[in-house]
Amino acid sequence: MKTGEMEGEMTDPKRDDFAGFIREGCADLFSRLSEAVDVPLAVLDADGDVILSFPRGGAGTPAAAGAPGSVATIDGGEGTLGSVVTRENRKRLAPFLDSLAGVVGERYGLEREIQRMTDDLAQSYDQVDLLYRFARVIRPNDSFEGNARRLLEETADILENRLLVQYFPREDVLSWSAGPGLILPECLLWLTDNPNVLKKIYADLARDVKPGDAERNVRFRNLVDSPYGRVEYVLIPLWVQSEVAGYAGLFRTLSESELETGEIRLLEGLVAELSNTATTRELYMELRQLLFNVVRSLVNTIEAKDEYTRGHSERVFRISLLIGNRLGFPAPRIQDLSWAALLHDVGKIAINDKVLLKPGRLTDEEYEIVKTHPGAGVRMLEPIAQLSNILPGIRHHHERYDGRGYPDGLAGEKIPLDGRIIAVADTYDAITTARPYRPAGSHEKAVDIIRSVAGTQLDPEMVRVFLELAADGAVESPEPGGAQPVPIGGIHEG
Amino acid sequence: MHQPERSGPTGGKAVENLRAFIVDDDSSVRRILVRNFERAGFTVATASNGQEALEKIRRDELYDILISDLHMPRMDGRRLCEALAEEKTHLPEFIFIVTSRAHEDERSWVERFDNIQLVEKPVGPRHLLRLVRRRLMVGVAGE
Repeated sequence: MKTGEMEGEMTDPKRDDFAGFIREGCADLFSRLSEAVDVPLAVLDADGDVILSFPRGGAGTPAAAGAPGSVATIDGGEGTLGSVVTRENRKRLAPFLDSLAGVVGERYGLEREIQRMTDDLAQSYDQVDLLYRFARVIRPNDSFEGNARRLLEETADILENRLLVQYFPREDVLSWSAGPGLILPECLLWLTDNPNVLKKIYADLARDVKPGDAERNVRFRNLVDSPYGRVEYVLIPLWVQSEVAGYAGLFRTLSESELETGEIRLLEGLVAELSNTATTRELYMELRQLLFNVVRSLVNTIEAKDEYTRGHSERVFRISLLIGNRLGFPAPRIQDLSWAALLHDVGKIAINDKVLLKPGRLTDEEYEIVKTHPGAGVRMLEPIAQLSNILPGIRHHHERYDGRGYPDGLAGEKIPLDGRIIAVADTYDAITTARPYRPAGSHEKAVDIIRSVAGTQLDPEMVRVFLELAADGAVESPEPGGAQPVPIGGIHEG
Repeated sequence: MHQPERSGPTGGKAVENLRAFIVDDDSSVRRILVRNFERAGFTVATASNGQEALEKIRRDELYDILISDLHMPRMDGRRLCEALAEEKTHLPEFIFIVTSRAHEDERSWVERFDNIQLVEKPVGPRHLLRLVRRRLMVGVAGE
């Protein structure tokens, strides 16, 4: 687009409609021509109504039905816009009017074209602007919710706060709805207060969504009744991998300004970004879960070679996880606790099998060797920077609440929490699995013993949580009889 | 003083009786901003450089908002602001300076004014309108 400095180039207001264009863009031209050729002229709209006539205040409507004269149709390239007429019937006036109508039509068409291009360009600017700001607020390490919230903050008020995003990762529970700190329009407030209406809209859409739609920009436009009148919405599915994981939409009551193409394009940009973010997050979580399961499988395999330790780490992991969840640990803490519980005995690999697998009570000297396994485990895992958070739980799972445990003799709250949790789970599993020199204790016996060592061996608070879980029936092994003998329990008797 | 309509709850867009002046040497940028600001209810005037803007603003009444590019021929956005500030009588209520990269030295001169905000390119018309509306609402609330 060439930079023109024509006077009035930018200041012509709304030329969207033809009449406005004639009045504001062509009045001068017609006035001068009418004067120069001394012919009264008028411009009519497509319905035959007069837009302008010259000379002003002159002969009035020149093209009354049946009046003699000349008429030339103005065509902007998209059908008839109107006409230029004169009442006079002079020779050679017709070609003059034709040329005039041609110029006006062409100029109007160009004007419209420039406006369309301007609007397209404006939309592109809006999109680039938004994507640029998206790039600045995305944090790869943050949760999907955190990233989504910031993406919405960048988008919502540009879209006149008519935006609603709902994301339901698993069941069709509306786990989270958008509008952080925003004043929502009444119809949106009503919708968020009536999730059943939204659920029905989503269910209707879900029937129309096809798997291949993930590749295409599928959007749904429809109406729904509300106490505030009919609400129009445009909804776009939020794809995560090949599943619809939510919807993002724009909503308006019919009395509010229309949903513009530019707004819908921005909505599409938001949805694409949300989908990417959610998919990346999900892939990351899957990889992390895969890594955990691989390690879990390795631990199980190593333990399976020895009938006494078989399944021990898995069971301690399971019970530790129950306690952590009951304590309301956030996801990252749960992750750390899981890894610590699964790997708490990994240091035993470094201990001689003759000691580890000895089919009888250990001598004091042998017991000293066994006591090196928490430290050995820490040394093995220390080089893995990503596991640094789990080392305290591993090192201190044999500490006692009264300070008489090992390796450091820590007491009370000085023992890292993960260590205190694993100690309870470890104790339970030790009692309920057989040893070479005694049979497995019952669940009830284990619960009694654990209750009795609260405050001496074990943290009374962790014991309280454990007893709650036991009362709920959550502790007992899901596979009865699966408990296998282990040579060394987590509890040192005597 | 003017009372801009609150945008939001009702989706209302009109900002009645507000006057905006837009300065940019790129005619397509001017066109875009004029179109979008007029649609939003502003009365808009334009110029293609600081010198032209200064003359028009001197001649016209007070503008509520001035949106100016920074780098322009003849007179740039900074000198336009400084000239308006010196004359005081025609200083718009708030000024947005649009710039491709906010260099440190470009920031420092802006900090001497309490009614100028730098906006980094790329900036779309919707975003700019949002900034303007927010600024005007803040102005009203603060009075």
